[in-house]
Amino acid sequence: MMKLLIVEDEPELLHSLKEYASQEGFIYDAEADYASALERISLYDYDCIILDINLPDGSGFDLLEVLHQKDKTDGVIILSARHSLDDKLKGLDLGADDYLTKPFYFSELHARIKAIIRRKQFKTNKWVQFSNLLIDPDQYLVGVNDLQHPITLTKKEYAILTHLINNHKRVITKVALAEYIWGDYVDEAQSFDFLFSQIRNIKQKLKKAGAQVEIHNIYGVGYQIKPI
Amino acid sequence: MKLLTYTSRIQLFFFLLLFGGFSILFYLVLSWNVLQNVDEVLYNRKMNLLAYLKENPRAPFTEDNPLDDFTFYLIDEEAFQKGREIYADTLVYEPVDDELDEYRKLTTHAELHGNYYRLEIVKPHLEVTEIVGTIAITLGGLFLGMTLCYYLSQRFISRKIWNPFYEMLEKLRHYRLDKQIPVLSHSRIDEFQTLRDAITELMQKNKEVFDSQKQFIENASHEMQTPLSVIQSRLEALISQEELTSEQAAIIEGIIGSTQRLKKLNKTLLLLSKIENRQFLLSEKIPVNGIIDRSLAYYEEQKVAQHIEIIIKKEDELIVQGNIMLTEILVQNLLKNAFLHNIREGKVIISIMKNRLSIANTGYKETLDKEKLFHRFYKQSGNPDTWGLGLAIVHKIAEVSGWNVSYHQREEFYVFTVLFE
Repeated sequence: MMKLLIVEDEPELLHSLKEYASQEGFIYDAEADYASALERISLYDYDCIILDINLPDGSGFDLLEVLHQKDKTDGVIILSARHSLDDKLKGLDLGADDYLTKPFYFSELHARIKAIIRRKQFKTNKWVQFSNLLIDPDQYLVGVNDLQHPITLTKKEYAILTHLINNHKRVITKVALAEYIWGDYVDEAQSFDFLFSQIRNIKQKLKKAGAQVEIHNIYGVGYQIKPI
Repeated sequence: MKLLTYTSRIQLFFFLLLFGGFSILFYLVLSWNVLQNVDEVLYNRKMNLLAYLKENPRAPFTEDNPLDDFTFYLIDEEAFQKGREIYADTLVYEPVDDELDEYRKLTTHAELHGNYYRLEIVKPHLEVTEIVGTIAITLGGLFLGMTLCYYLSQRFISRKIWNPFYEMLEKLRHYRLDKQIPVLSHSRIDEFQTLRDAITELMQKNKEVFDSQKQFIENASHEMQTPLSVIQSRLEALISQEELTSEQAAIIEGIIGSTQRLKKLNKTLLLLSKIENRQFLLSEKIPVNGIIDRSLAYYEEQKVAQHIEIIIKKEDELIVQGNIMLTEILVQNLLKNAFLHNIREGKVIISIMKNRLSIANTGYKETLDKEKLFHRFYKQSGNPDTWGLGLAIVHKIAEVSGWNVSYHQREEFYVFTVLFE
């Protein structure tokens, strides 16, 4: 079971983060200021800390420093409104594992948390199972029931499919998915069309391989993968 | 024209005017004076002569004697009555040097021993020419001396006194709002010192305004990040609910789209202000070929969907010095541009040379405004999803990295070239 600490001072966002954590079935503590967060980390160990940099009574960087001094191995994802390279370097220097700039998509946050978890549980449980689909993240392989005969997917198809599976508990909006795949490279309106055909291809390939999953188009706004 | 040259010219002109005026005046006054003297001499001579002839009636005077300077002409009474005394210049033939010489002649009338005479007395007055010569030499010398003095003092002034002024001018010429305020040196001259203080104050105020404006954009963008996060996360939660009608979903989709646009705009503004604040290390060695290869992977779908032909001409390995992230953004924006404004079955040609990258694409054959192309928020297409900031970012990145980006149209191609130097 994963244990999370959420440190965020903006109440609305904290609320969303808590909602996210319970949806994913994480055990979590949530704090809105530096002092209480400091108390938490000195008392408990967490698998992952979601840390806002700008807190009313201190900086998230100081918390990082404390963790560093105590040799804690908690994975840390920094949330920052400052899209600044300095912050990023400083954060990663102080032992943060990842960095997300606000505003972020929860699907993106979840992907980062998953990555940290995977790193922590390196030896055990490396493969991901979803319905009858089996995924080996190290080799970028997806198969039905086993990996003897993997489904042939392009890089982007693989990325879309695993992102959908990682976030199967929520709807991923088209915007979020397009941003995840194409970043700022492609104009949004165009990327929606490409996304549409990519998803169509994935659906065909999954069906042909006999995967017991279905990618649902939710109100034309987003996608969600569900087991059949 | 330099200020000193300009003032010298005007001053020299007035000197000349003054010199000319005074020379003429001097000449007139002097010659009038000389004439007065000569006339006085002539008058005295006449009075003495007539007085002598009255006392000595026997003295022969009517004959023209070459030894004397006077001549009596016998006239009738009527002519005598009408006659007046006249002083006049005249030319007299001098047989000795075969020349006409200048003389002053007094013509007057007199009654002697019952007869009427016209009396003419002459005196040479060659002095005028000499006087003029003297004046010319003295005044000319004076003028020459003054000019020389003036030139020397001007040189001295320009070297010493105007020095701080020119220094100020030079520093102001190189002054840029986003750079440090230059330190202007003090001057002993009050006006220059005042100017220096005024300029320094002005620059400081300007800088403050500029900085606070920059700070404002940055802070506003930062502050917008958190509310945007909230909106986005709440929208994601909303869309996950199962009992939405399609109308509601359409509304949410619209909001999601707008939030995304706002988010991108905000991100871009932050990036721009960060570039302006020079928060990036610019000393990394960047292989541009690699960036191009990686970036092109994002355009696979577009290439297939629009049948766009990508031609890559690699003449050399292009390695530049700058910031990796910024260079990626630059390439990304140029490529995005080339694909976005392309046509079906169009082309994108990427040429990589030793110190130059050029990206050319086919398009809708409109002429682009070279001047405004790199301005912020300038866009020629009516596409509501673009901000017209992409090329402004390209320009800014090139500027801080010391590169040069230019645009030209060649046949059916729109060509953007980055010169790395």
